[in-house]
Amino acid sequence: MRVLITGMGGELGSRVAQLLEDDPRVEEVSGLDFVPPRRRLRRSRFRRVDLSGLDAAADFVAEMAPEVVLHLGVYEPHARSSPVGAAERTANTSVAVLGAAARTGTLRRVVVRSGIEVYGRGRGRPSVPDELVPPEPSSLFGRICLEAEQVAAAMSRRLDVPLTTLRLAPVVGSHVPSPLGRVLRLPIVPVSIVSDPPFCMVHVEDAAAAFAAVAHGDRGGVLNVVAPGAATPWQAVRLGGRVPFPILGRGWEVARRFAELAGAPVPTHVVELLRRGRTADGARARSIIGLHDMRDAQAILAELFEWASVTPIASAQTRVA
Amino acid sequence: MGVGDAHRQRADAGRVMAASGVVRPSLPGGPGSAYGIDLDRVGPTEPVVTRLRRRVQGRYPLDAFGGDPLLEDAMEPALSALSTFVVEGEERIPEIGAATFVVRRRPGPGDPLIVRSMIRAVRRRRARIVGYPDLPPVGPILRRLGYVRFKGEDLAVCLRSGHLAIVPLGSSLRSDKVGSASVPVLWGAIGFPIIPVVVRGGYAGPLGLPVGPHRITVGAPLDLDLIPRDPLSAAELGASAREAVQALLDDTA
Repeated sequence: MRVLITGMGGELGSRVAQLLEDDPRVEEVSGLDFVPPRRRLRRSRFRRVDLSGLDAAADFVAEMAPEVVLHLGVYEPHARSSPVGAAERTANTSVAVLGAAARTGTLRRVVVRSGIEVYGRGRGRPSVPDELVPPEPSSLFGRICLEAEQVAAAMSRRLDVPLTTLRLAPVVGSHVPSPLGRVLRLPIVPVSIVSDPPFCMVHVEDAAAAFAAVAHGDRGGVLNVVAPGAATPWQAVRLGGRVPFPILGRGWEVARRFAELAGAPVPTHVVELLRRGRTADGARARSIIGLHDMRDAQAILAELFEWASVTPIASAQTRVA
Repeated sequence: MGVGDAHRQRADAGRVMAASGVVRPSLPGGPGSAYGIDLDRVGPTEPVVTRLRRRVQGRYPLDAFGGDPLLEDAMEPALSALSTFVVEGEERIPEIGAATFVVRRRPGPGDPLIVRSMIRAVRRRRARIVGYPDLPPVGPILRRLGYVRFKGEDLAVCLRSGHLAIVPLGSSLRSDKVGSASVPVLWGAIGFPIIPVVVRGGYAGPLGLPVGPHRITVGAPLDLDLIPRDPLSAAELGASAREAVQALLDDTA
């Protein structure tokens, strides 16, 4: 089986590539991204491409003739791209790469990375949406995810190949460049003064295991990949030993500016999460994919906060001397 | 996909998962495993100091709805001190797995609360009450105490996770009548046992909390196979639930 991974440069994409490299059923793993992979890959081929090199990306895909496409090139605002850059990269990668893969005639299966942000948090929406709740995104990242889903769905219909959509909860891990993780690790964390809503997460290892598992399946459909349990902003602050900074109404805009100055830009979907929460039902994915040993929300937060602080090289050398 | 189709798919998924035993409370690594605390079963009471330390350090589990089982446990003694009850048909309360209790509701929030206390006492299981005002500060507090919103989608998720849920019918001022059932909410319970419950006696004390001795009757589960799953006959489902509770009330009068 030949597998193409878009977004292979990210923490999730690199980890999925590693898992597939270890799978003897996978003959070839290739990938694309605008940044190099974050992990050591032994037998994967990687092509670095950005918005200006989409023709080269299409040629790379045509040459590889993938049988399975794992479309992880769905970029979260302020993870590694600006909000505008994330939207543009996702849209262009989706169209260029999936279009090129469709033209090869070898495609048998598509898996697309999406997020539970597609459900939105508008008034009257279910608190814990399952896969059958119609998407109604209320943030930029939600709209980015939905657009990627729609492009993949259109291609799947045209070619009559199964499409699996994995809607991930916010992906958090000690080394993941996640906007939510950055905010929660700030010394002073903005929290809502009027509510303490629950939010869920998924560990990057569990998310990668889900992609590796569905790459082989022959069924399509939508699955929410969500760790069991939930946490709240106030609870996370206490668990991490941080200082809460209660905020009301327009104060969130000011807090976003300060957080950005502190090196943790907060995109709108993370503000939405901190103010209104974000949960989804992941029971179906856990039973279908067999993800029974997922790390729960509390374990994910504990790992996030136990991560050792970065030691500057210069000061470490001084100590050794 | 229409709303009816979504409801049917959700119900089918629930039945398959419940039948396969894949989704059940107390899964290893599943909901409630954080810090060794089960979200479904009531465990031994921790010392006050341990409980306070958990609060300060943030080391307590929450479910996807934001329910905090330890906080719920802390509140329970106050409620159970107010009221006592005698139960008929307690063998109909499931030891494991999900079920919906359809409860007659007299004015005030007391009847669902007394049924929840009864389930805790009889089976040592926590039950979710469906329906709370979604306004701060009451809504967030009740959510933390194990309430879920009055929506079929949320009820379905709650049941698929293997929990017990309590759905109050509409309130009725007449003591010999029950109110109507919310059809859009009860759709979420299809695929799982629906059990009628009637509470008699006692009275509503401060804040509508149940006070005094109560007599609780748990009826036989509705036979769902007799209820058509055609969306057009959704009203029949609500009527069946209401009639079952009314029949139980008439029988126990």
